[in-house]
Amino acid sequence: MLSQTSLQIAKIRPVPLPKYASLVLASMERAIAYRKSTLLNLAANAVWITALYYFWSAILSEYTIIDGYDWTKMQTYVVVSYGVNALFSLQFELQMFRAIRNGEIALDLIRPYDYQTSHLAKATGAALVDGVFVGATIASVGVFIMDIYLPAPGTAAVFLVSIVLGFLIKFLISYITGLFCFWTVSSMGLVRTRIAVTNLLSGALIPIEFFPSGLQSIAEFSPFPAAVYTPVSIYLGNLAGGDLWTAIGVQVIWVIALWYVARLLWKPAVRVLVVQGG
Amino acid sequence: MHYFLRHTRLYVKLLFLHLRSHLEYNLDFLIGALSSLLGQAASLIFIWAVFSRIPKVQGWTIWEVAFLYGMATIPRGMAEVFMNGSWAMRRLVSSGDFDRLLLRPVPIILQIVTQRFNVTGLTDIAVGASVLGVSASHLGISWNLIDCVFLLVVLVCGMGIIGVVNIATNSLAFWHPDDTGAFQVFVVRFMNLAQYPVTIYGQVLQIFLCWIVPYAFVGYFPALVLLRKNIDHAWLGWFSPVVLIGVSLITSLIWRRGLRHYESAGH
Amino acid sequence: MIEARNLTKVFRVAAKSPGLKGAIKHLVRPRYEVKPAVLGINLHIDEGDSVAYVGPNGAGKSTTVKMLAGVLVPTDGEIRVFGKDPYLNRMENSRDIGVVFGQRTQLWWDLPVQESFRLLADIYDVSSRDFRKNMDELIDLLELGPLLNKAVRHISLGQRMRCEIAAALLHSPRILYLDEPTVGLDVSVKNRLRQFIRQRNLEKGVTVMLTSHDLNDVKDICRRIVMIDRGRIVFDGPLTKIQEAFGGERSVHIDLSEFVEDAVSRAAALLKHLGDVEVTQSEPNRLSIRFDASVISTSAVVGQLLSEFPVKDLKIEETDIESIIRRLYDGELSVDEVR
Repeated sequence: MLSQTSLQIAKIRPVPLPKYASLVLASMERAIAYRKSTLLNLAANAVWITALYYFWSAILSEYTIIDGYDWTKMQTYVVVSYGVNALFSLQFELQMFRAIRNGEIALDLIRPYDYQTSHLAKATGAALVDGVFVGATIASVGVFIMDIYLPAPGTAAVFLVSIVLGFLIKFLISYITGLFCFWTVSSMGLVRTRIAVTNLLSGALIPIEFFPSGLQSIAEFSPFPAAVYTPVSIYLGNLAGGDLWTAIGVQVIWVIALWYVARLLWKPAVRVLVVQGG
Repeated sequence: MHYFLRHTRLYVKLLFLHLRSHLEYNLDFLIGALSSLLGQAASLIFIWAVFSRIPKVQGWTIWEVAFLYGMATIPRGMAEVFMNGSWAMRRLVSSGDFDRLLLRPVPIILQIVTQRFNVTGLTDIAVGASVLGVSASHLGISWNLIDCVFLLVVLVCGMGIIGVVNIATNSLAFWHPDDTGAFQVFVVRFMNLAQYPVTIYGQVLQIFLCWIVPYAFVGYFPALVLLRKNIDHAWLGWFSPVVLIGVSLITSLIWRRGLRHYESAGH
Repeated sequence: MIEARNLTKVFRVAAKSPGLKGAIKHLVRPRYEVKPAVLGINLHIDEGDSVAYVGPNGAGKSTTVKMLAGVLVPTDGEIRVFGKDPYLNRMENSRDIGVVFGQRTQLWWDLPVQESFRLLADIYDVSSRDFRKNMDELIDLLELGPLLNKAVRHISLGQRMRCEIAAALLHSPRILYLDEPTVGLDVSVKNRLRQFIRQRNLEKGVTVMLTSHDLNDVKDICRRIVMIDRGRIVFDGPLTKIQEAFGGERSVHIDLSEFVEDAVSRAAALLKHLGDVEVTQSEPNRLSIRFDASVISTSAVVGQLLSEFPVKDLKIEETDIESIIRRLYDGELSVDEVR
């Protein structure tokens, strides 16, 4: 005779889910539970967008238009790029590093799923919650308070595809940074650097077109612009026709390349972990 | 006198003790230093990129902005080296190891502040100083002895303000040791904003950076004095020590409440 | 010398219902649950005493020790250690006490043991001469020689505990508090530590207050025992008193070679004429007979059993302090019987 208790527990998940989907769901629940962190995350993003908003407002009130960016376009740029950037929250990374620090990672290693994919699942879950939350807030602020403009439906569709790809790239960059943390104790430093470099080179702080040409070339050879700048450019209509599909293609290539780099780094990373004893 | 000497000696001893165990991890030090450098580079490139298109931002030239950046970064590094210990609060309180600090004949705050010694702070100091030096040479302002003393005092006060604010935010661990620490990081990140002229941010942020978490007094206001800027609120640049005292008083209140709470609630 | 009067500690814990609604409700009208830990304890410990502080989990032992050490603020009552309140005179008091927490270390994890010692000497202002004298003595008695240049994280638990005790005694404190110092240690290490502490107490007059679940610790180290249950002291007196009251107890265990019906009642009836006996059956073919050996002759009991039962095997056991105390706070034996 099966008990009532086990029935009630089973009912929590009415339909058995494929394991990665289940992880996504769990991660979402967790993000909702950690309300305080999520709210702080929102606050942090709000602060940065506000800062950038006023920064560019000051500049553009003096100079009206730079390189084709007028105030409306710039506002849109800031809001959208920060929105896209916020999809992958710092909170999630911190969780990952804490798991390494206190040995929770050992659990992940003995479970029957691929660590990389499981991590992606968890990041996706967190992103869905954060994304909805942050995205909705930013969108409302942008549309109602600021002056941003919305794209045409066709562009919007491509934009969404590009966001997904960009998210994957950002995840992989962060994940690879995380793997480097297996070799060092000062993970906070690494993360902070990653954020600084990503913010700059992905165009979150300043449009890449504004970079001096030498730097622009360097940036374009890195995966960073593909994470944020490409989707934002699509939104703004900067990319059209052939350029558009090239950009998307570049994103896809980066996703595949980074995925395999991450896989390559995995074995040595685990070896370090096992030798150190966590 | 003996009290002061003894505690200074203890401070130095405890601080450098952590340096020793730090240096055991050579690779770590290198990675930390490198990532610090990269982070700084990112900020500097940002400044460069902005000014490659625009000659002046709200009356600030590139070298003035760089000067301010250097002035704000040095205290940041100094705080990281000399006052970074408060970040250990969460761990100490939640594991109960904080009790051990109460069992020692040393003031608790001294023990807390010396919990860590972040050598990577030295990179920040080095970069900040270099940027300061380079931009100073491009500015063509003649400084005198008073300015030099002023600079030193202001740098130390800046370190104090940052360090004391960290103690205040980390004191929240007395009440919520199991929090993620996200709030403390959130507050620290405002220092990134304070590395640039505060006047470019809107009203709300300015008020925040001046009166709530007064990071503006770490670099911005003092820089106005040294840069001979003709802005009407430039006189606030002389007020860093006062701000430091104010922040310390508030922090000491928070700290004491927190300690009292910890001692009543155990853990 | 350590004096606690009406010492009380009641914890206030926020009673929050889960979820967002609960969080808001708590902000508006905070409600607290009251969790009493220690209720009106009176304790007097003289210099040179060795006191065991025992009780079931959650009885209030750690709470009491923390209050005596000055780490926890009492809700009510008074504590005086060497005439001073340990909480208000935190730093002064800390010079007179050494504390060993079984689960936690006060040594610096990544540093060689000797560095920790030197650092502690600085923290406690130990003079160079005293430091060397104490170090020599402690290294010798606790055999710390080979451990000195090893980092704390590289030594075993037993080795660490020896260093831990040395660290606590480095500044020659007059009182030594030990909170579960022998948890997880193997028998030989436990013995060494017990001997050492006992010697410190007898030869140097260091006052020892020990909480432990291992009652052999208690037996080896302490002369006085204080029992606490649910926040109140239920017994405070010399260990010998307990031994006298229950020490004469003996148990005879017999294994039967074949099944005997109603074995318990038959044995009870058989032995009744000898006096007060307690017969129990722990397994189908095993009987245990408990009695006071100072009143009833052991050989008489054994003789009777052998003549009437098919005994395969026989064991005679003295009841030790450990099970006596356990039964005391299980309620099986009454504390009143001791007085």
